[in-house]
Amino acid sequence: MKRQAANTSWTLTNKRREAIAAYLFLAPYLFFFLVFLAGPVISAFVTAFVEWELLRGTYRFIGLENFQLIMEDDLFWIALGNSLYFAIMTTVGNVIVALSAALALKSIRLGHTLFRVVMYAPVVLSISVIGIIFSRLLAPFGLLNAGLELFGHNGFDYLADPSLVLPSLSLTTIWWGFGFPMLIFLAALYAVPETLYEAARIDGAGRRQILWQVTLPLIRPALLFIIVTQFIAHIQVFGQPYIMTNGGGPGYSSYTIVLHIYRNAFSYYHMGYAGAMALSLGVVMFIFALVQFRLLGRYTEY
Amino acid sequence: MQTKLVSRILLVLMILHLVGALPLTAQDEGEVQELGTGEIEVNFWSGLGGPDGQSLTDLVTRFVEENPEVTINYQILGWGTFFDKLSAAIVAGSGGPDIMTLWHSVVPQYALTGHIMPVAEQMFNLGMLDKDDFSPALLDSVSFDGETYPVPFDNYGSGLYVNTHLLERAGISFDDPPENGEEFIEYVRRLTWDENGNTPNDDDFDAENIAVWPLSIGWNRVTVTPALYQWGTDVVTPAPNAEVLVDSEEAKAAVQYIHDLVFEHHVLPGVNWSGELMLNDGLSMYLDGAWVYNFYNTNMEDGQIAFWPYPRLGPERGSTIMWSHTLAVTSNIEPDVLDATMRLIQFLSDNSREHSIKTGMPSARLSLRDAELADLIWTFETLTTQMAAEGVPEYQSERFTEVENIMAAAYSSIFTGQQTVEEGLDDAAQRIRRALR
Repeated sequence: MKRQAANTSWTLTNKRREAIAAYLFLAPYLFFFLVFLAGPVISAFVTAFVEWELLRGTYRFIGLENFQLIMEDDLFWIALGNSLYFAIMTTVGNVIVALSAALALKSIRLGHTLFRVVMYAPVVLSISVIGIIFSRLLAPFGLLNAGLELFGHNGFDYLADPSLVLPSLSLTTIWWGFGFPMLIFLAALYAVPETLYEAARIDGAGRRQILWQVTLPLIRPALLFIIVTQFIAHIQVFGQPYIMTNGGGPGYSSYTIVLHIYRNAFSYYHMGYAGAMALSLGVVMFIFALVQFRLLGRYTEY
Repeated sequence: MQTKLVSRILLVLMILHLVGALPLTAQDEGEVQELGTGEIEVNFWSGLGGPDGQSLTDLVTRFVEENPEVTINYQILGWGTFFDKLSAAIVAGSGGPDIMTLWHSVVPQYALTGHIMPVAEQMFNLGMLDKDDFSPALLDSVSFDGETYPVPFDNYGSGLYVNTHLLERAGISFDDPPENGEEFIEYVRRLTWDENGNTPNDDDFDAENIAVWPLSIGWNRVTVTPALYQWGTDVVTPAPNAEVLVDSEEAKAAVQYIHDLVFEHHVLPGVNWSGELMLNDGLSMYLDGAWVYNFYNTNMEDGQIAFWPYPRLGPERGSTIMWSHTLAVTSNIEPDVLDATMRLIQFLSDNSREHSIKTGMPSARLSLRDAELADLIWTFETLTTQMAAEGVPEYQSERFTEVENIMAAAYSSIFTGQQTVEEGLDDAAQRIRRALR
């Protein structure tokens, strides 16, 4: 009996040791999580309720006043509208291009790995490089218009025409970023059992029917993941207008919400107001993600 | 067959990818250069890039050679990054510069909040610099409560770079610059040609296919602000307690004049182009600041380029804008570092004539603008003569960056036809009032 009790005690101690070891392994991650993620999030939350003018050194609690200012700030709403338009356009474009590329890649054998690497390659470039390349391509006297001129067309002022600027930035972003969703789609496509395709073909289904009735329903979890993560990433667009349209031009045609937050925080020093806008953007993103989960998640087969 | 087709499509995509993914040269902006090996360390942040930045770097290098006890940690940053980084560093109280270049227009942001010290006042009192050797208007613009804060390093304005080949083609003499707004429009019409060689004065002029543009502007701030002066107004009245003026009738008339050049006369593109078109005779005139001198001086043949003063467009008076890059010092500087910093400022100021020759930017020191420079720099005489007679320092504000961003967006909206002059300026005025609250 005594021996059994001693064994139990030894087992518990061993478990504790394992737990301690596990926590020690987790500690570095937790440290960085607390310092660089949780800390700033809490700090931004508090900042949203204070008037904090960086240069003047004022810091005082003002309750919901910053949120009241947001309601009166027409630039906040213009920027939010632009960001939503950009995010929806880019997410849809990315899904279509990435899925098409993944389907094409799955159907070939020769050079499959090479093409996969080449298509993923732009993802590794920084936004500064992408911005400079596309600013030159899309300039009034740039390469794209030079190509159009060969066909007798005068071309367009892609980045200076208010109606073209956001679609141009969106196309740039799609070219830059479709490699990542393409890999996710490719992995999802390979996970679909071949037997299902064979069964569909035996039942007389054509290519289009197979795509809509077999492939898409079975890769829906990947589709949901891509739509939600891409939307969250693209509503926070910053680098493209910052580099390519001189910070949101022409006028405010490509002025985005993160640019507005950035300018208020680091160019105008209104830290409290910027914090309130960041919190509001977080809420908007949460609501959109929730809607996307509700709409797409309902039909997802895991 | 289908696999082959897909492979071909992918091959085209691959080539496009490879072309697009060509690596660009890495930029060294923001890199700290440690100049000298002395014990006293001075942190110097500069927003001057290109030839201006190179010239300043050369001067700083010479200073540490002559002052071996000093090390300068010298960092060049693009202006956007410069201001973002500066605000964070100043407030953090460490890691920032001891000395920095600042546009005179943003000085109130830092002087009125106590983040920079009246170093110029101190240097005048110590006899290191002569107060009378600077333009009084310029010193006024960087003085608050009777004390002068940063030391003006250069003093420059804007004007019209003109392509002499195209002046000749239009039958206009360089010695006969436009006298008023109406004559200016007449000139730009004569200096426009479509692809068939017709000008807007010809009946069959094709406005959709312009081969030679008469006028381009690099920066609306440079172009429109002097026009505001010439209609007797400005963006805001001086800080503190600034009043907003951009929705005044005078401001609307000034902006309407520029707007009409775009939409009524079709002689000005609504967007800002660089002046590179002038190199191959695709552009007749380029309205921009003194900093463009170096580009044209390097890239155009002798006699192909010349410089006219900023044109007299408005009904009341001829005025031009003037700016200055100033040398400012942070308030929390250590005493021994301050001593070395003041000696550095004195050295840079004393050698600013050399900077003028290399860059075309006139020195802020009146005694260093001698007649010989007019032979060396083809913009010099016109620029300094107009600044002395009609120069008005750009408006200043405690919220300069915010006000300037609002105005830049307003001009851009108006000149690309998104808003009328009335709508654009009314919106801008409302936003500026909100920013100044």
